[in-house]
Amino acid sequence: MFHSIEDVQSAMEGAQYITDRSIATLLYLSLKLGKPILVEGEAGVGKTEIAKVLAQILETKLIRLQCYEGLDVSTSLYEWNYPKQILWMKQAEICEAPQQAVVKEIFSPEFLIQRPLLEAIQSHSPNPPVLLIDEIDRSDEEFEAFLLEVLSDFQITIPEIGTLRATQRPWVIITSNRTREIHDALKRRCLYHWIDYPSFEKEYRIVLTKVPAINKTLADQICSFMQVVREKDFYKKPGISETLDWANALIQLHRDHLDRSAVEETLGCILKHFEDIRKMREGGLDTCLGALRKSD
Amino acid sequence: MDRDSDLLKKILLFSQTLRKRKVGVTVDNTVDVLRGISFIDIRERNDFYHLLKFSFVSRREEMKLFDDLFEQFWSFETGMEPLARKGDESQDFAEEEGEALSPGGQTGGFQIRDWTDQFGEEGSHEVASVAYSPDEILREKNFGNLQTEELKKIKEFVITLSQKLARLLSRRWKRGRRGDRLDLRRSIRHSIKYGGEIVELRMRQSKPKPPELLFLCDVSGSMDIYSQFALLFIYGIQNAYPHCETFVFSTRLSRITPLLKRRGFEEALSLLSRKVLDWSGGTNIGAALHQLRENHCGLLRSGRTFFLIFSDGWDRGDSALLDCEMKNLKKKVRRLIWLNPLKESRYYQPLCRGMATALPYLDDFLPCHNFRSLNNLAHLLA
Repeated sequence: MFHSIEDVQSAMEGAQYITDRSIATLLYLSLKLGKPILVEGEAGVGKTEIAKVLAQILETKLIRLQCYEGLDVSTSLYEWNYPKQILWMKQAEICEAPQQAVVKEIFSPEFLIQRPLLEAIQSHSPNPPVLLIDEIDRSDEEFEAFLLEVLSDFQITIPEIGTLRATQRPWVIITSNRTREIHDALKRRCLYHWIDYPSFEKEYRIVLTKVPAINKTLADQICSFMQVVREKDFYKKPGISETLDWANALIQLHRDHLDRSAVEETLGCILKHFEDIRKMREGGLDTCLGALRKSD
Repeated sequence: MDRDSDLLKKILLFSQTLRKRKVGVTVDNTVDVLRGISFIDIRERNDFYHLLKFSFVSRREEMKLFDDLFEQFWSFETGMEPLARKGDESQDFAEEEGEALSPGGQTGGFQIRDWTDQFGEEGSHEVASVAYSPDEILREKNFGNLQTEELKKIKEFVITLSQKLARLLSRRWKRGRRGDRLDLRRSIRHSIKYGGEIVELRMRQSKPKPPELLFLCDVSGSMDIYSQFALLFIYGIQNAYPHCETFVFSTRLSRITPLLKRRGFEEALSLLSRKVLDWSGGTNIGAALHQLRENHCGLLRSGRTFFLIFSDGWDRGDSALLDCEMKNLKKKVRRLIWLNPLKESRYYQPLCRGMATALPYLDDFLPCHNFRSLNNLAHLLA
């Protein structure tokens, strides 16, 4: 376990996650207080990455629950193994086993398929696992309410079996792109942090760490270009993951500096919307490149 | 020991201050902070700041306010514990703060430039002006005739309404004997009474996809106060319901979905008046629709869109273009709704050119001049 914020930060950097002190503090406090973390921020600023890094530095398992519209208990918590149940019943019928025993049997944990939430609660690994609940804003409100129940007591009631209590509390990280507001009750239960797009310096360090093959001039140009692009009014502003994709793409194309043709060839790495790309081609490109030259 | 209890008191006081400024701090949050201070070095300003921020703040809009209050409340000297700035007098802190922000009340005619003033900070004490109508009357009252104090109240109504609507829109169905998907879990449970033979099938209805909303709001001079309320209503939905897009237009079209999101309404409005420049120009609805189709055609792809236009229909553009665009639009959307603040009057007839052109293509033509009419709209959508 970690004894100071510095410990956490250096462990994170050791795991190649470049961060400022705020996120290290967030993880440290979450570990000490045993509170879930809720991180919000634009797409691609490294929210999900936090959970991965946390699992890595705690040397434990990462259990991920990806949320989507219509996510329900049977896909997030548990499901009975129906084919197995049916086979079992058929077999019992042939063997003429007593009905009571069969019922008891087919609703035993052996017939239960664990989904992420149950898996996190029932984990028997030496270290508690990290539970990542990704993009919770995409799930329905009813699921959120259900999650609230799970997160407050870390226990789950299955009607046929009874209440299952967590042997050890998982470390919980919830992320949201904030397409809708998360309910207050859930928020108040968590340590909250909003992650902004990175500053130039931070992004520069990230690029150098994650794309070791890059030369410093190109990294510098890419990061300044991104800073300008994010100020523009696009549908989807590019995040850090786009920056990294772009850097890799430029290296594959053997580019060592940014110019008009290089950007045009690889525009699809940064902007993912037809309208955005068109807007960029019609003038945006010149201002972005212009800003680049000024900063040189 | 004494020093500890002193710090504790100050933290409690700070949490109260936040609560007074509508940052929803719970007792749990305060307990977290008190537990947290034993794990960090509270002489480090930055760490102390983060502990308080992570625990007390829970939405992005609150961050700026928190930062300001933190700055004002806590003072740090190197190597010392954080001190509350005003010492014992800090009791009055919260109240003083509230008043410093008040822009003072005003009544009468509205200009879009004044918007941010009217929807002043929640904590501000505006000078209550003349009569104050009871809720019921208030709901019926035309937006154009509201007094400052009533504006505040109606603002709350509208926000609550839009959030309720967002909740209704995302509600879905499942289970039932009929339906299109087999519910194996329930079928097997029911099979037990037949000795394991699945006699009765239990079904599940697939959840219907939620509708998409597209708001197109006229912000030209003639709409003024009505577009404020339309935008407030839209703002509430935009922040609670994911499938929603907002555009404003007068002579030119602007997509403002990202402007409305993730910030307070006042901030959104001031951004809006700064970024969307041609506020009080004339109206050209046809051109706006054309621009929408050209540049944002992807938005109407699903065919599940409720398309809502807030405008009084005083169109200065080409009516042939408007006709053509309305015809086009009609084919692509699930429902085409026009909200016109002038429609409240019994004597109103949709004779002005823009309105007359658009009318044949509309599924609904509704008023939007008071809270009641917005409420009716919400019922129609849900």
